Amino acid sequence: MIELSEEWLAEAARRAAEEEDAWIAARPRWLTLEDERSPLIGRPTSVDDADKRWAARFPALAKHRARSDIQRWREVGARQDAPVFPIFTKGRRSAA
Amino acid sequence: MPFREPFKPAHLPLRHLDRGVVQAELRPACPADVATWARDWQPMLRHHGRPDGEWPWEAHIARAASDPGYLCLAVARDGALDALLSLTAEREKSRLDPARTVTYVEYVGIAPEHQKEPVGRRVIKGLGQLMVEVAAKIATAEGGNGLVGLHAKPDVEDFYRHIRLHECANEMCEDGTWRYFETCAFWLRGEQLRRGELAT
Repeated sequence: MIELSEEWLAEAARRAAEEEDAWIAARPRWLTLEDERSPLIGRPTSVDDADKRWAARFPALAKHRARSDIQRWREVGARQDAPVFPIFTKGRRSAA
Repeated sequence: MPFREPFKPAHLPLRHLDRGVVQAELRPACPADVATWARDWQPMLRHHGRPDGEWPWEAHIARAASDPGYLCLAVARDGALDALLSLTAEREKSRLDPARTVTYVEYVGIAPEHQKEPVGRRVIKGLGQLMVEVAAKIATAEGGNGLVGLHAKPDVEDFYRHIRLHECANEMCEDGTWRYFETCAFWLRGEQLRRGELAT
């Protein structure tokens, strides 16, 4: 029988919730509706538009870390109902 | 080592955003969970264009029910399905120690309402990390070597870095190129030491 202690599970669940809070607070935030209306940020209208917006805003990131996000936009970003796209406006990466 | 022994269901308290502490159960996933997933998770995940809206939970749960090389677990309460975990027993080679094999995390699924915005509002927090820790705990059970590996989707790479898994290379998989992460038996103990939970 594979058995996990309920005490361990309870503690792991409590700790994981705390750590997720810390992670969310430290990581870049998602676009708000106000950001989407901004001409500087806005919602991408196509995959190419999303690529250009990202590269213009974060040139230092565009070649590596942003690639995975752009790859994701290629899947969903050009859809009209795509709700948001991630953008780094807080946290240590904002220096880029 | 295959999952020859059955998994014993266990109860755990979870903090619910609206209802305070709720009691949930960690147990083997069952066919009814597939219906709950399709009804409660999939529409919202698809609406947001999320890849986890297309994950083959039905096949994974059926496979785990008939093959001891696989294990699917669910966190459930009061008819709600909060999280799913699909594991494959030690078949895949470790990247940290190629002479050994890893317990491979096929999928970690979290109910949309527990995901961060814009999908959900994190009604119950920390389920992703909890499921990875459960995988690590199972990997050390019954004489297992404790190695756990997974491929991360791009939007959760930072999460696995945050919980200090070893970051390996990008690897081509059946469904795309994803970053591989691995952890070893010392990870959970190291985490406990880091938090000062162990006396030694």
